[in-house]
Amino acid sequence: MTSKYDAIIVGGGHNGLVCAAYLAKAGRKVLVLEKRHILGGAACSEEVYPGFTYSVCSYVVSLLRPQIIRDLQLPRFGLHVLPLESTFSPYPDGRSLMRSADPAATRREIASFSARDADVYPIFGKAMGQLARFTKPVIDERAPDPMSWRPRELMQLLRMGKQFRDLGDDLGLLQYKLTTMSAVDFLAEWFETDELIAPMSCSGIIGTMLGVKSPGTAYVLLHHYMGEIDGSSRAWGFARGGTGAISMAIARSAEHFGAEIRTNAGVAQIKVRSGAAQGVVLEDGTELDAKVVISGAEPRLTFLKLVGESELPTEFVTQLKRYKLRGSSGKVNLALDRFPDFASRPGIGMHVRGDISIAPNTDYLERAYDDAKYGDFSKRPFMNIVFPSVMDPDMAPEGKHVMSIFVQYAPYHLKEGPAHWPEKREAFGDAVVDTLAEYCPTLKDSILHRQVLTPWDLEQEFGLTEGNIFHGELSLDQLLFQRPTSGWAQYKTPIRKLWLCGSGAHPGGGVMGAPGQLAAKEILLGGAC
Amino acid sequence: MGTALVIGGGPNGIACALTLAERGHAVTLVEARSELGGRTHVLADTRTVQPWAVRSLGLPLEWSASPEWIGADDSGVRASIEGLPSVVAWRKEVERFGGLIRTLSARAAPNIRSDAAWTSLVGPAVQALKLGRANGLELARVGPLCAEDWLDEWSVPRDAQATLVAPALTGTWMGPKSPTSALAVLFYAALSGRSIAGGMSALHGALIERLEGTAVSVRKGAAVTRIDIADGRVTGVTLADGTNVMADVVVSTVGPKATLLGLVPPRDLPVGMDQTVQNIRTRGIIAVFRATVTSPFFGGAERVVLAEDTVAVERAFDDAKHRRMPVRPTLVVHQDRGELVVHVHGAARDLDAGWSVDTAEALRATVVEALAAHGDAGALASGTLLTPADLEREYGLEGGHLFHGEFAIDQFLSFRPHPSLTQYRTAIEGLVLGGAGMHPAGGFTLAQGILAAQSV
Amino acid sequence: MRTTPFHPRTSELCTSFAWKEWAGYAAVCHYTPHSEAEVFAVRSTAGLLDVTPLYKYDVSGPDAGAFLAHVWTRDIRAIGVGRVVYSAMCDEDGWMLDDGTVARLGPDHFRCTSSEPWLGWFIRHSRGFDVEITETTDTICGLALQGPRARAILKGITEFDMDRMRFFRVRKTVVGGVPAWVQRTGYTGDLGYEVFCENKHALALYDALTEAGRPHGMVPMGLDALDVARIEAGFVLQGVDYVTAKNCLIDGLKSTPDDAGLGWTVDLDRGPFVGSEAIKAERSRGPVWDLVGLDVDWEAMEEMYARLGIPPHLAPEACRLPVPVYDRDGAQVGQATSTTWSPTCKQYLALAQVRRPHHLQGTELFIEHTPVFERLKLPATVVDKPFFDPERKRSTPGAPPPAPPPPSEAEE
Repeated sequence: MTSKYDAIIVGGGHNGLVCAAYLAKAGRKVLVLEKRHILGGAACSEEVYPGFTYSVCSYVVSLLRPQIIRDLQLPRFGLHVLPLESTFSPYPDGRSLMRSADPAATRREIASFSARDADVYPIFGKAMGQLARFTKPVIDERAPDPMSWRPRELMQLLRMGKQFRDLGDDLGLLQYKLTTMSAVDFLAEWFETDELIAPMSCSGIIGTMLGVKSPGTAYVLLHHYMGEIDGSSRAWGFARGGTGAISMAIARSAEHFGAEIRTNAGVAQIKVRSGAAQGVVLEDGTELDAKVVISGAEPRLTFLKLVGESELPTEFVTQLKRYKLRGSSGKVNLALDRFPDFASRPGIGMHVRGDISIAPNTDYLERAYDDAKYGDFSKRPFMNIVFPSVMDPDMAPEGKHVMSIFVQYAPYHLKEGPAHWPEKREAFGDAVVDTLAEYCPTLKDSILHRQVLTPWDLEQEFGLTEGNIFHGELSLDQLLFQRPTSGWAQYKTPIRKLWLCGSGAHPGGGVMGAPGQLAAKEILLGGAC
Repeated sequence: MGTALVIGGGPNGIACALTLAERGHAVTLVEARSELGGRTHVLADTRTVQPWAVRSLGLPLEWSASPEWIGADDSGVRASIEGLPSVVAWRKEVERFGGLIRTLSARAAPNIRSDAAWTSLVGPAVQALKLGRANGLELARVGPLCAEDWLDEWSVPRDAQATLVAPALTGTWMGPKSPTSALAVLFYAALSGRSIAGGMSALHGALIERLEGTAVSVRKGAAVTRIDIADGRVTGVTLADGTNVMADVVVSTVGPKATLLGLVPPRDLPVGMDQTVQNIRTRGIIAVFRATVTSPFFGGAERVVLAEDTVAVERAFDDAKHRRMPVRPTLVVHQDRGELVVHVHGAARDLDAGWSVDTAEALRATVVEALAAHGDAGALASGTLLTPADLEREYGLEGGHLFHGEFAIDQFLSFRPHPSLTQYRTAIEGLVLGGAGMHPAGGFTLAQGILAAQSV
Repeated sequence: MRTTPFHPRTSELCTSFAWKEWAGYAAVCHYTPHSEAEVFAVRSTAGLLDVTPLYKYDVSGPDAGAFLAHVWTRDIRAIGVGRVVYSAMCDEDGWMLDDGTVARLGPDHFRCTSSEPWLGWFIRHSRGFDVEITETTDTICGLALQGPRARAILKGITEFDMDRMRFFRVRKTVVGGVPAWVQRTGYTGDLGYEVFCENKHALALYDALTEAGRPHGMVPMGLDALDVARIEAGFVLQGVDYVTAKNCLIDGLKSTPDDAGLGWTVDLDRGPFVGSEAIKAERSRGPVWDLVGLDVDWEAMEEMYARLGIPPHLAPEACRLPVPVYDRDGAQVGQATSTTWSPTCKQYLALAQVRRPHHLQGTELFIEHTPVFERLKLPATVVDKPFFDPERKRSTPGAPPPAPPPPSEAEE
């Protein structure tokens, strides 16, 4: 059976759904095809253990674009984002640090480590806020081609150049340093306390195969200051019902606008004839045609697996092959019989209503990275933890809790080879729980169920090539006009009528929705469908 | 023309003094040590010395084909890598950008601050346009890469990579797996050409000889303790013995950090500048081992990198990063007529255990043991090792860093050492910075002293 | 939120439950349901205010004076031991960071107070100065005793003869059996003192002052009454009348000392200090703004309300929302940042930042006023500050016949 759609979207992750919703809203006939039984891709919620809902992979809402929330009327379709109230860092020596939206309280917390840093902290925040205002348009617009003479590109470049100029010398330099320096070096220009630098720096390494002392990792610090949710600096939030609730809200919105969504419908092949996409072939052999095919899947998978090398220019294949994926993180979800108190700050206070970083010092983080560099998972990993059930009691039975643990590093490329992950999975889970037990002594006794996701699992289950949660390393050489490859960074591809709308396109990963939205915009602008 | 005083009798100090004298200044050169030469005693690699700099100083030096870098490991010296098709292809790739890098390194870096005349940016813009779209995009892609990834793309074997990468990382705080290390490797490769015949000692000799033929007044054993400033203007310097030397212009070649934080009285420094200077990163991770040997090591190979592969180089960097005693440091060896100069990569200035007679001896023993397999071990007994702490103390190298400041993407070109200082002049009238901490970075070029003198 | 060491007493007295946050501490707005009685107490008897949340820094060492002169706009080196000065602090670009007092407790020992935390800033600028900087915000607590009876109250319980303590002087002495620093300063523009002691003595000090104050009609006083009193006294408040440059994202929100009406605190005739170059440059260009006092025409206001058929009514607290100020042609020339009904002067008063030359005394301006929904304008005149300046503020009954004051006399 063949039916004609304006657009077929490969992959029902949040970006695919955003793209579908925008196209449907513009009156196009859209079909979304998702391989799994539920929508959301890596942004999904599942009841893996009876009564306990896990945000299986992605666990916080970082920079979900507010215009998407407005345009797609997501609150109407069930999206409720609760701000993460604090960032908490326990230390092995029994001390701890909580940074929250209360400046006076945060000041006192930091002052117990360094009074100087306590004073510098809000000044740093202000400078970051100013840079965030400069950077925001960069993620809200498609990336201009810096080496092009086309008027549209030139205009956009000039505008960005002027905005950069308007920052002035000092902020301009700060922006450059932020983009190029390592997170630790950048923070060390401001702060003297390693206990503060370490948890701040680790936002720069999430999802990347880099250490906090690797150049280029400072940039993501800015994301914390983009201040979208509630207009406050608490840019990170948690979706009621788990991250899957975001995808579900977008899906409902897309359907409301007329999009058709199918699950259990994996795409086996993107049909290409004389350099143009015609449609897709499903795993069950069904062929579907459309004016355009838009892939929310990771670029290398899209082209090398679904399209096929023979259809592609050699140069492009070379670029794709050197596109760095290198998944570096894993996820451990725990169902808990009772709340595991932190020895340094027991109880269910504000400190557990935000994200919790196990990042006691920068050497610790670098050692965790060193393990991964040589092909092993971190024996004592960096962890970012949230307790969804504390913020949303519906996530677990009464009095019980779910604990979402993002773990780094778990390199896809083990020295024995990635296929050895299944046999190492439980050892990896043990390393996580053992490390955590140093901070939460009662944790081990309260675990009812443990789900361990290695990068291998992320690849097998969610189509995240090499387990990279961002569909490609967020490194300087793979950002902006180089994402995914230079020359093809504006959602278009060398295959006519085939577009990209996933995290492998500008501006990249995280539950932002921006690639989906910008791709839809470009597709509509060009009148492709 | 007024009086000029140059602080530091190292290669850049001498080059600066010569250039100033040439331009008609009455020049005094002061050196804290009892002999001139500074870093020429601890560096050996002359292939990055820029021919235009040698010409400009009128040094009667001969150039010889550079001895190539040879890899070695415990099993012995490996075959040359220069014949490998992958290395040949990669070297060709480097030349796509080589011209631009050499041009930029032969002049002051563009002032990118808002006080610059826009016309000053035309030259660099033209250079960038000359590069063309494909090369420009490729440079933007390659710069941020780690050296290993870049060389992997060209299928250079990992052991050959170590040989290419280690000498290039001398002035950095990076390993081959650090992002942007490709930029350091690119710059080093682009700036490298032929070597000076007779090596560093020939260069040293030529500089001294040239100096003797001029009116430059040289004061050795004269440590500057303070740069004297009145009303925001340099008036001269005060020496350790308490004497004042008056000068209209003071060029300091001892490093931006050592100069502005160590020699300028804190209250004479413009408000806020101390922060700027404090942030210049100068983390030395190299110790220098020297020995006189009677029979050649490494079968006579003159330039040897003793490291199995990039992982070994990275692990040595890990030791430096974690401030540990290096277990298997990467050794970058120069051998010239019985003189071994070995750069020991992986020795952090701020070693957790601290540098003492014991720790220095432990590292020396490690180096001697690693070298012993490649020559007459007995000859190494008299070898001496300078830890980064020794380098800091004896040669005034801030942080024990051989180049007064790390090569990093935020500390090169117009960012070296900071956009407000990149034109060699400082906010203090009459105070000029020369020396390795300034542009150009990427190797020992001999350019900074001349460019600083030209900016006076 | 944190509580000050006086909390056990103040929380018992605060029957209104009106608290607000002040620098991370809980502070009383008004003790009884209305603040008016507290304002009257300051002008007729005395009010006792907990000022612990002020940021406090002890600076000591051979270069302490030189260092403080480097970061504050006044030449702190020039003040004698036992004196206090009021000063401004600027950033490198000459923008106001804060204002506060600096007391010279000993030859090499100073204490400054400020509204914002500056330890990091001080440390950053202390390179090359042989000083030790200690934040004492959380270890030293303070009470302001303000009003005409303040001297009489302290007299009975203080070792030092209060009749001899002159305006803007500080003295280490014993108050109510407690070692304390007494300084004749305050934020009300009346006779008054600020008493600081170590936290452990807090309750003893509070009880002694309460006991001594009872026969004099002293009342506990909250921040609302202070706000009215400080406007009457013409004192600016950081965060209201000007905003510290540290918290401003754009230059348009920042103020220079001249803009904030604090140009008189700037001693330029000395070596460079933080911000001096920028202030010099501004002076040579001519400052743009000034902070002035406005006397709003009460008759016009009565007429305005009469037209609406209601009696004139103003809130008992000061208003901190900026209100536009216009010239005769209706162009906005500035904004009133603090406005209040003055129970003491029986006037409607405002502090306003206006463009020069509208700052000149006697200039007729208009201030926006919203009696009921509609935004109207009231005539107002630029007048001299302070609005209320009693002679008792600076007079000292027991002072020896005044020797000619030293030229560096650093008074208010």
